[in-house]
Amino acid sequence: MSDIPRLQILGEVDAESCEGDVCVIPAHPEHAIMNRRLDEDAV
Amino acid sequence: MSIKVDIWSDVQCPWCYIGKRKFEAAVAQFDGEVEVEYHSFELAPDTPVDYDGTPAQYLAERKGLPMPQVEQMIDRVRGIAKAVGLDYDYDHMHQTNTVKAHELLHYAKAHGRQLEMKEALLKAYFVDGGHVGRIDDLADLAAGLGFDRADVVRALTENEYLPAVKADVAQAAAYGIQGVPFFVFEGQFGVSGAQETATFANVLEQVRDAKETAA
Repeated sequence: MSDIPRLQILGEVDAESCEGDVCVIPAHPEHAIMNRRLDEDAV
Repeated sequence: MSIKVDIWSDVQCPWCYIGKRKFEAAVAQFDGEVEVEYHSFELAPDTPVDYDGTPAQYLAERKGLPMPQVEQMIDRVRGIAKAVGLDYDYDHMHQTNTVKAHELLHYAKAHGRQLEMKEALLKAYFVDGGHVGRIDDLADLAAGLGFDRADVVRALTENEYLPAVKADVAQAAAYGIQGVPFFVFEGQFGVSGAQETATFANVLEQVRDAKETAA
């Protein structure tokens, strides 16, 4: 796979995953999204 | 007609093990051949090998979250893991650096036994309270699977497979992969996260249809 094509994304967009050291999301996903935004903004 | 699936994953990723189970269930339902190859992804490469604490303490320190909130989050993950037959033991997990575990995965791949090693590493970390960062512990794990312990120690000490780990990480970056688990079907279709089994099953059908159409 030396030539990397652009991937066509399939499946559900909100499936749980780990990004950076954020592997566990709260019961309310909006909190996880807010935490991630705070991280990205380095607040 | 076989379908190739490349999976980027980290050993300390709870959703990777849960996603693995859900994906395996979809493969079991699928009436075709599926070839799986795992690739390395380091979620927290700056973690010390001998981090003195549990994942809960690590999460609380890193994110500045109160322990009750962290424990609530972990309880939720534990419940989802239980639903797919995995008994996550967060009280005995050893948060660590996973680069040597990834090197061991490449060592096992070179010996044609990567899938077996992947399962063993995830089980060791999430279920059995094993340490997946130290060379001696990894060598013991490998020896338990029948690998030559001395050769494993040599390979990990000499960083023999570190370039392969870094190549996987670079390939993930080239794909734009930011989180794991991440599944690449036939080098064309990407699926992010621990999808439901039915979703994985649908994707396998879609990919087979696309492959047959293109043939």
